[in-house]
Amino acid sequence: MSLQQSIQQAAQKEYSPTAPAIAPKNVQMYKYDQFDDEFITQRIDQLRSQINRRLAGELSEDEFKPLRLQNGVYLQLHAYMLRLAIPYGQLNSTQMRALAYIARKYDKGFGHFTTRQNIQYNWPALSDIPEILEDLQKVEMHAIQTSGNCIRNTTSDPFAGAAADELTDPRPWCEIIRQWSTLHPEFAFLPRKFKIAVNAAEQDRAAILYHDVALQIIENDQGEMGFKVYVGGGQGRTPVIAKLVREFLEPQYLLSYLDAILRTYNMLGRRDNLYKARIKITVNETGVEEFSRLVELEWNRIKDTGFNLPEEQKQTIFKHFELPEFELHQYDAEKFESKKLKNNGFDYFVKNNTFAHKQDGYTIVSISLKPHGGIPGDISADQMDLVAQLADDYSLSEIRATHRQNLVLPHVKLDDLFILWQKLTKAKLAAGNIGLLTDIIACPGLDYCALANARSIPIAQMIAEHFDDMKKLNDLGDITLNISGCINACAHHHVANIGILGVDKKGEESYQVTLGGSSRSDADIGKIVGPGFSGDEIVGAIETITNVYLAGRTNNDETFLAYYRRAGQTPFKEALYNVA
Amino acid sequence: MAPAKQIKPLKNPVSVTANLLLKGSTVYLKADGTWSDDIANSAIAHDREQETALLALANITEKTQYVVGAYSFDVKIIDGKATPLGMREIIRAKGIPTITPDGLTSKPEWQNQFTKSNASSHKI
Repeated sequence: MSLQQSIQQAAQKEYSPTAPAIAPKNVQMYKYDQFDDEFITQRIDQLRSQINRRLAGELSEDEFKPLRLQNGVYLQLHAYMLRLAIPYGQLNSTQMRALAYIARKYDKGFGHFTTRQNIQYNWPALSDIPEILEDLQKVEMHAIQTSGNCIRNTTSDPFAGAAADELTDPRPWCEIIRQWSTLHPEFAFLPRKFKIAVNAAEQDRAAILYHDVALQIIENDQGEMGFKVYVGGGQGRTPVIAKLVREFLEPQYLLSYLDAILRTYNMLGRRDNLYKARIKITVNETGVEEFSRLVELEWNRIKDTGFNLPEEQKQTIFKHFELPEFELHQYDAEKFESKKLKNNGFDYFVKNNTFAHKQDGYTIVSISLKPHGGIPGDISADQMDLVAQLADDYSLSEIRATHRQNLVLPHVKLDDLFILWQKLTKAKLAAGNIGLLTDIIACPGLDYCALANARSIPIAQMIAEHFDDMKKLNDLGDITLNISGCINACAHHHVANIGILGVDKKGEESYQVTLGGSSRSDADIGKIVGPGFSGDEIVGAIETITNVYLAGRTNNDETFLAYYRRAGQTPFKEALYNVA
Repeated sequence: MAPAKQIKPLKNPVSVTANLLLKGSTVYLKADGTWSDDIANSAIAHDREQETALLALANITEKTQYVVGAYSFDVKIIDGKATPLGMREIIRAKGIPTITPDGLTSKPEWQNQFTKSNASSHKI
């Protein structure tokens, strides 16, 4: 079955198989023009030729590896892995159906959403990859720069364009950065990978301070919009919180300022040591004042002569993101409350999985990809098709992927929420645990990843199975728990309130616990609490940690992180290691 | 008379593994220089000299674009056959993860390596 037929069947709508699988009407997102389409065609042809040359022996693996990586192709434990870009986490329903089609045709019927708001397939054959990319192109997606030492997918608030607490919609700025950074010739071979995140809301839902460049959209005293610019954040083996380099950047200079930062890094960044090549190390070794001075020097040299986005082009991009026409309606509050009272599951879902929308009568709905005993971030092809259908029926065909490995329907009418919850429940997608202890971020770990030292997924499953009482989970409240299978920290364990790092201890899997991390605007890096635990012990250790918190908190409003910051590590150490 | 050549011992016997270039799946080097997806068929080296010879053999087929990334790894010998040591190679040898997401039809019988945790041992 072709992609078009698959989408047609899934959508059960009129469809011409000769027409391209265009985005549903009225979705507020960037749409490819002829230029985008042509360069992606060229890129696919280029990769196909590179694969053929590799298979013919004209390219060695050493020569081929950086080329495949820049197209998102990794070689893992059991198979190749293909990582696709979801620009700033935004998808439309047609794209989600295409992802389902790819999962069925080229993979084993599922995909894995990542902490970079992307999706990974774990089982494609190398020879199938050009064909997968051709299918993706039909729905305006690609895998360019999802790996390699280049500028990666720009990430952002998954509630962008919908959240009541945002100053403005950050997506047009993300799109401008995406277009500027895609195949940017000067920055194709940086010392190391480079990640940019943009936030415009009060809450930081994109962990921006752990990115190489963090852009917080703010308003100055004159009411003008601009960017607060941070540089040098990151995780991995050396977690660092990004440092402020500019209090206010006028938006027209965004690209020339980014050029100056990247150029300074490209010149100073170390290429002699893989582990010291990220910009966080460059900033640390150079000193933030000196690094900022060099950036400003370069920026002042190029700001008026270098590249800044022409206003007309900016307006064209912004037009793609104009807010949809929301229906003005009064939802039936009495009926809504009555359904919550009658259905515990719905009550928890509303409490934890919805967020205030900027439009009265609407809400933002998070779909947890952390069902009881499930694999964090994994979703089957059938579930993808269902989410696409629900997006068409209830969310103006829009879907978002979050850095916590969940999905979001950004524009749901409150009156539709109950039926939506019922449909999600049937598909095992209605876990009401967003922001709770079982909303675990976990990397693929040693089950898939060639870099991992220990398994992450079975640990996440055991913790989720142990903490399966929704009443207790809600009592514990707002806690983040992240599990990485190695020090590369793909699951952001450093910045979780409770972090778990899998290590290899003399051939055995061992799990080190950190406490007190935060990925929000009160960013902090977790501290190791003591010696690690075996796979058999780790759930008990988490139980102990949560019991210390429950026994020690002053009241139900004191969150786990607030308690930790007040009490420190001592009570946890005493309980975990019987230290008097 | 030249002194007898000292053959360096290995801590454990080793086999050689790689991934198929086209599919990426795990394979093991057999004594005849061909590859098998079953570790039980793999050739076993007991000393450094044998290990070097196996890696050289692997290198020949790596140059034919059949496999990629060949390396040796520790094994233990059970009933004369190699079995993997260490979780990474145990998982590779099975060819599938220890957990089964929706969409995978066959559940590996060995999926739960860990026993259920005894939370009470850590309760305060």
